Amino acid sequence: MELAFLLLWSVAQEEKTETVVIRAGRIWTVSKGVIEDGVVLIRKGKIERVGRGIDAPLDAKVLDFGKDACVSPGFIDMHSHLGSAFDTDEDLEAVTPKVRAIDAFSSTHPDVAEAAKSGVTLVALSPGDGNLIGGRIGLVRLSGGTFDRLVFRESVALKMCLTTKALARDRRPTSKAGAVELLRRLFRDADGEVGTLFFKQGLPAVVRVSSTDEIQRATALRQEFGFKLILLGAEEGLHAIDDVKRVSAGVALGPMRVSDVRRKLELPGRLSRAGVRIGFSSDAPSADESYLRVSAALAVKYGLDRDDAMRALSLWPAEMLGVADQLGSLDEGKLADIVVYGGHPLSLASPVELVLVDGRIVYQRKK
Amino acid sequence: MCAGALAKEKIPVVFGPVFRYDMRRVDYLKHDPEGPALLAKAGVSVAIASHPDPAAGHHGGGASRFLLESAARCAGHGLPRDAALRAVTLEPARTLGIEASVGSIEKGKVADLVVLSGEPFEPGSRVERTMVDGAWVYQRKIE
Repeated sequence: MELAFLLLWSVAQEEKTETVVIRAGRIWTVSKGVIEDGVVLIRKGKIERVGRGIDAPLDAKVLDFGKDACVSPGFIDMHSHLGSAFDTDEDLEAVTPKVRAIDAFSSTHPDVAEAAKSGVTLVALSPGDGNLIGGRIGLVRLSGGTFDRLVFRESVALKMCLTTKALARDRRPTSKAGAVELLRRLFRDADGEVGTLFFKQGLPAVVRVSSTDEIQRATALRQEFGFKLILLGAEEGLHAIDDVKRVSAGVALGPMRVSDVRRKLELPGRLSRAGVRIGFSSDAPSADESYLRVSAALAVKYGLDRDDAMRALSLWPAEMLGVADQLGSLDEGKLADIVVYGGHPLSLASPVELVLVDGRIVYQRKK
Repeated sequence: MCAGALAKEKIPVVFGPVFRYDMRRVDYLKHDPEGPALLAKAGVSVAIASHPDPAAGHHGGGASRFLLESAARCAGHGLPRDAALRAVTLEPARTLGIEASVGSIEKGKVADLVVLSGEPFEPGSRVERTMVDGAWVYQRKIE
């Protein structure tokens, strides 16, 4: 009985050998501009061809979404606790670099299935803000199915927190100064646990900062020790924009809220105009994955260039998280994580029509 | 859902907010953007409100800046676009009993008008000018 089930299941896995052709009015490659009336040909879970006038192979499943529809790479959530909330922080220690957020991930959590309908296909699962060094950020692909199939990378970055959230009364560090002293001690030990991750394995640090002084503390540590730095939050980033531009690999912005002040809504546009790579995060479960597109839409209304907004949702986070060779744009040879919208992807009025992960349909809107 | 009963009794619904704005409150409260589509399909008159939530404190008031985005979000979740636009214009006017003077651009109605830079639901469309009672009350500064 069990063997029969396993055989059936493995047959189901073979579905990804299926060839799919998507036609739509606009194909947003993100890397090479927009293709009008284009075609994406997907075979064996990968993008085989993108362009115009491509004939569909005889064995292909052809999906034509019409003139108004837009195709884009699946969006990437740079910081989330999807299916793992409140279960990632070791409260008694401030430095836990071996903790992996994916070990708290529940693939059967109802939020995971809901997130798969949002147009987000890759989620950076992160430890919380409660620790100075909280642990490893891993990547989950919203492909449906079991835990093993969802986990894409176990460890792509190290989560750090320089806000007061990482301070505690009953364990070190108890002060901001103590936090920096502890970090410098860890970084100076190049062969230690943290040093090895940063300086031998080249793992980037995703550092939660909010105020100007926290941002400058992070950039100063980066300048002294030379690890790859991605800022998270950085609400007061405009006051330290020169530092941010000079030494950070980019900024992951928190979810934009309809209650946010104008200054915060203008931050994505101002950062990207200054030449800083940005990405968005849901911080789920405080928001959910659908707020990635909401964040970009609000940012566009407050001055973010539309093409930069599309990059901030796909290619830039892929680059920051080190997976741009496989994801983040519609390029031949990359993995087929693709979303079709009923209209412009940055218009909230455009419904998600189709979500394809690994070349397989994980969601299709009912008409 | 009781949409059928609401339609039968002709009870209008003011729906909102469709955005969560106190992100710190993790209560899984669903501000379900699919709600208006389900109601409209059943024949219920539905207006969309920005609905400043008391829990958002003084920040909540800013949500009305995004009433158009609220309608757009509902359109992105199954509400036809024209119905979404009506849900922030004519439907609330009817619900409030003032549709004889506001809620649509018709001969004889009060001149409360908005000029947008593009189609209402296109990304980045902004309010260029606002007219209330025939007088311009807002004009966007050129940046």
